Amino acid sequence: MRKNYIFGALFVIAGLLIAIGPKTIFAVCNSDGEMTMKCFYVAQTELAIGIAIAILGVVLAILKDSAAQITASIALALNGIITILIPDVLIGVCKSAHMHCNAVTRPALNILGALVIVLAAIGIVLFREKDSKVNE
Amino acid sequence: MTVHLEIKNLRKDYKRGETVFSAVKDVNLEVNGGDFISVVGHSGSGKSTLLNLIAGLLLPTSGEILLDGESAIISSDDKASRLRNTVIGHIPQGQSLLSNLTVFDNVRLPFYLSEREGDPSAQVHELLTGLGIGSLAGSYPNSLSGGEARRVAIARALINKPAILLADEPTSDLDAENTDEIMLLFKRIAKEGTAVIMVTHDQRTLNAVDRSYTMEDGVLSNHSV
Amino acid sequence: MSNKPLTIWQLAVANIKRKPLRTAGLIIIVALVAFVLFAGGILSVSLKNGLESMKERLGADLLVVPVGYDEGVEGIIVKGEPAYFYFDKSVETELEKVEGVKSVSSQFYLTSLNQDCCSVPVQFIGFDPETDFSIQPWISEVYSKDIKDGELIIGSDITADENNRLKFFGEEYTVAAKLEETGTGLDQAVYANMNTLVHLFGAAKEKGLTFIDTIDPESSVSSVLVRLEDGYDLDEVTHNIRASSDGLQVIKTKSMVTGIADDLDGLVSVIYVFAALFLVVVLIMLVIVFSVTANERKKEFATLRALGASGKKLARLVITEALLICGIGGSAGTIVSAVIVLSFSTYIGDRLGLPYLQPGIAGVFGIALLALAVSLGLGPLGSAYTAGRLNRREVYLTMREGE
Repeated sequence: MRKNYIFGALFVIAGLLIAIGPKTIFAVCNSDGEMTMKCFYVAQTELAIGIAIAILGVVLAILKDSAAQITASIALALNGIITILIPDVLIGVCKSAHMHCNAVTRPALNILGALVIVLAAIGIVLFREKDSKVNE
Repeated sequence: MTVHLEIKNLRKDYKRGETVFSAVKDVNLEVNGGDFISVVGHSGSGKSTLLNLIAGLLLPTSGEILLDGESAIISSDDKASRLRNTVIGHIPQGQSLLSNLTVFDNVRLPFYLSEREGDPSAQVHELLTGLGIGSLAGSYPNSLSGGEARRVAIARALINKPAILLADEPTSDLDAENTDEIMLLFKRIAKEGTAVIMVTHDQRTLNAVDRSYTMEDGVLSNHSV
Repeated sequence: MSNKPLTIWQLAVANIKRKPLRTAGLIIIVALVAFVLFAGGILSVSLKNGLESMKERLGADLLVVPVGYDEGVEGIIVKGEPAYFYFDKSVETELEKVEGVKSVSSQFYLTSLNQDCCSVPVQFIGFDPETDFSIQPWISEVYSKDIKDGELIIGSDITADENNRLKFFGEEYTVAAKLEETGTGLDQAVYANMNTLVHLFGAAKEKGLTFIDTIDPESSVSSVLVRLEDGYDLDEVTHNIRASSDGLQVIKTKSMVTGIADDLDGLVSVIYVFAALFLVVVLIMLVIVFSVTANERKKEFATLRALGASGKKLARLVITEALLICGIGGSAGTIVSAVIVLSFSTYIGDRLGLPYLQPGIAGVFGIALLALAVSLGLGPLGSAYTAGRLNRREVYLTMREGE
């Protein structure tokens, strides 16, 4: 089925952006000096979450059983939620509204996280539809 | 009560540059419900123009078309379309099914082109089953064979129980077996009271019809079978 | 198989569904239009709001600063770039005597350090509660009591801790109130009375801010705000001030505003011209695409005619298809644009380097509706030509012989 290839590819792209983005495209603020900033840890944690999302995307593309596809989608949605919670609640970013991590990294992660959640939700619906068709 | 269609001195002129050219020249024709007639001619002879005139898709230059004694030449497009939708079943030339719709939707489509009450679904299934293609209701046209597609087009032409059935080259691209079956079908439809007017250049159909006419350069002439 | 009546709407849905590539292409193009319209709308309105709010905020006719620091003070007001500079307090009393000056009030600037590395330096602005006419009107909107010594008023971009306190140079201060957003650099400033500022100054010195060693905060100020007597001309008073003493730079707030307004007009007209050009190009493209597709679909339309569809119905079918495509594209583009533009508003404002004040929810909704309406309007406009041709009798309606 082509559907889960497309979804898998989208999750891999989103996952890689979440993983590498906070260190490159929408980088967190520089941490020079001895104190390490919150955003540095945000970037580190998102690296792990992003890689997990990318791997789950590959898994989703390979999986053929629709129950397994739905499970992978649920896992992806949860990872999407964590992606958002890290800069917003769990770790947080620099207080100043104009610092790069607050003005750029945080919204970028929010959007990517939301994208992962929305895609996963659409995926769950589509994979379930396929399932019910088989059962008919 | 069956229909009585009378065509008197019907003429359709086209201008090509300076010269006027008549696609249909002073045609006279009378068809009654139950008749199965054919108009034979080469392409370009004016036979399709004649069908389009009868269907009200074209307005004649002069002449009369009388349907049960009343003029069927209507200048309002809306009214002409409604008349066509209710009185005439049309089987256009070639592959005429709408490729974006299923067989089921193709057949019931004419029902919804005028204001009507009710649900034609049962009728659609009945028609399709009667034509031996009941199982194809959910298929899309591109998966049908030529003979199947032609049957769907016939079912679609019959959905509004028309008084006149117009068929434009209904057997083109069909093998002998399919051609015979469709001729039998038209005979049956005619027997039930519909006037069937078929335009064709297929000689194989000639012995199926009640009367046959020849069309050449816009002139219709009687032609005994 | 659905038994739902086969309406024009259903027919249109089936048609666009069964041509996924063409439909997706058109939807993306219309989505781009909606994206540009919404983003352009928000941008231009935010810039205009920012300028208005800066005009209101300044409150003074003239700003007097030490020579060479006109850019410094503009940086503070427009871009939120912290700066400090001082001259002698006596300037204030001298300016009061200048002909045409109605009232003066001095301000004292200071910046904080990058104390922990997660914060940017903050601009402190000290004002004299006795004479101030530029800051207190705004404080009174959010805080009705007098500002006591040691209390801070913060701009909308500054965040206090949970206990409503902020720590500077090793000491904690109470935040009395937060000002409303202005979209200017002043959102990143912290305000206090002169006594508090003198205290902060001392603490900064202790923390080793050596560059201010030679300054005595009791006898120094950074800028003097001037209001004119009615009937006096700006240029005239500026001239009078220049004549009265040396080493002063006089900034007309009006020309600061008009300078920004000029920049802004250029930017906004670029946005408008780009959006308009884009709109026209897309409209022309849609007209062409719809008419080319109609040519390809001649047979389909002729069949519909033969089955009893009027020309009007065909026109409605084509317009409905166009509306569906533009509706989906317009909504998608507006939503994506809203997510991106609203999320990154701080960054956009910073990059533009101009006062940027986003409209409220109602304003955002208004712009979204407008973007949606225009992109939806592309449907009927783009397909009108084709629909008109289909509605004409005899042109499209017959399948030619031999076809």
